[in-house]
Amino acid sequence: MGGVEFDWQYLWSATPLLLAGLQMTLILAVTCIAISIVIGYAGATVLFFNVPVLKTLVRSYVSFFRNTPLLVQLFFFYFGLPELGIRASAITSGIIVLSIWAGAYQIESIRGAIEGLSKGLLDAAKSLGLRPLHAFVLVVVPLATRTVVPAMMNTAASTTKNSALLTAIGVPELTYIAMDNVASDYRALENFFALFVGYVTLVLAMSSIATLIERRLGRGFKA
Amino acid sequence: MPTLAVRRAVLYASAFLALVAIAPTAMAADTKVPDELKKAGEFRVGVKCDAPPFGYMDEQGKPTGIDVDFSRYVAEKAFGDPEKATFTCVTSATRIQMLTSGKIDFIIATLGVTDERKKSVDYATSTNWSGSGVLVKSDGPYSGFTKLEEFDGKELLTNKGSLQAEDIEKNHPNIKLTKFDNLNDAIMAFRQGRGDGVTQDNEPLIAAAEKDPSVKLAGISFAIGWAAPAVRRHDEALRLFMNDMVTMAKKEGVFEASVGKYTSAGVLRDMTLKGYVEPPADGSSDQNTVLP
Repeated sequence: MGGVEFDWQYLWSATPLLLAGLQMTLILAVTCIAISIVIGYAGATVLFFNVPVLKTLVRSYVSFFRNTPLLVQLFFFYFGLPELGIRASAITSGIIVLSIWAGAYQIESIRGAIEGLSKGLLDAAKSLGLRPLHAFVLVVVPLATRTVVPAMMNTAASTTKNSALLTAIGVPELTYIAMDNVASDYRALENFFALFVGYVTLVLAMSSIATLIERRLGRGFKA
Repeated sequence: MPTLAVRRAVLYASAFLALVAIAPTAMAADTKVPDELKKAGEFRVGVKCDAPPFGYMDEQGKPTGIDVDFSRYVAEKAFGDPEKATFTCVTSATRIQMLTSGKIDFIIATLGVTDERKKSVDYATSTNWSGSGVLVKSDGPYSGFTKLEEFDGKELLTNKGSLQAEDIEKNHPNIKLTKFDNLNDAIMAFRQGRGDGVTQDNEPLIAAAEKDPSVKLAGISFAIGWAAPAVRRHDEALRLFMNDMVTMAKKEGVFEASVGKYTSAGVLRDMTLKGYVEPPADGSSDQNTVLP
């Protein structure tokens, strides 16, 4: 359609709605990232201590969620599970699926960071008389956390961006609002512009927080 | 066993009838196929793939339905070959963007005519009208509802960009709307116990109810709307051509034949047919104007 120009006035009038969507996206992102990090540490702990049955469960969980599309997981949880009697609202479904999806990646990142620590550290802890649990909590976790931040940030950014998929099950987040605007107002340019700006702002804000954390955790270490 | 003579007579008679049937198409001489279309030798149509009986996927995953048949009819008239119509599935949310961005040449996808949309597309003559309805659980508390207002404070599911969403947001702000990417997802979510009803055009809802006795249409009718083929703004040559095509198809009973083909005898067929052959209760016309 020739002659259509970017309409700032339209964008301005759509802003309150888009901001409500951005708020929902932010809530989803923060919640899911927090839960996923908890899952990550829990799973990595199980793997570190080689807990017999749990270890296999964690491994299957990780490979299942990393090797299937997130959208399919989402559809399965939202449209498939109700047939087994498990029914959650769109928002709850979205938070659960996105969290356990991201959790799988966090487990792998933390496990990788732990494996990257030098073997001598554990030996040193042992020789100081630390029990395995103490060694894990006081030595392994803090040091692994220091190196895992960039990978964790990577997953967090993916989590934020992938929250857009929740539009498919009707969660009114940023993409839902924008696509609904496109459908009812036929203003694609302005809404996509808002989408890009919204996500870039969120993810950039997150990475600057991550940088701060990294710097703080890195204090006392030589660059 | 009919004799040879009888068979021959039948053959001649049907040949004659066929000629008579073809005769009106000679009229095509004064409907002008737009030059651009003629040059391209084919066209791309955006159709619905989740709105039976108008446009939906058949068992082979190919688009089929009344709108698809009509598109093939147009291809036959324009190029002498119904296969020259290629189809792209569009959703209510994407169809106008697909058209304006040039991915399709026109839309025949249950697109309701609204003044707002005339700012973005030009409509040819409307093909059919339909009322809007609400799909509810057959044994649920809402199956006796007769007015849309009764759903105030309740949650209705629909698809993004539906005429009903627009109407409800404007006239019934107390009804909570949840919008999915397409109607199938909305119906699926509803059948799994989400929301209190699904709202859309009557036809696809009846089609859903015919497949599943646990859901039915409440006795509610609102927002009568015309559906029309749409072309890009100011594409007057194509629009006039489509006008002729719609008028011709109506005259030749193309839509009636399709309705018979894609619906089984029952409420759905009657209601769909009515939308094509009878004027609507609100007295509105199938002729569409174009904004300057």
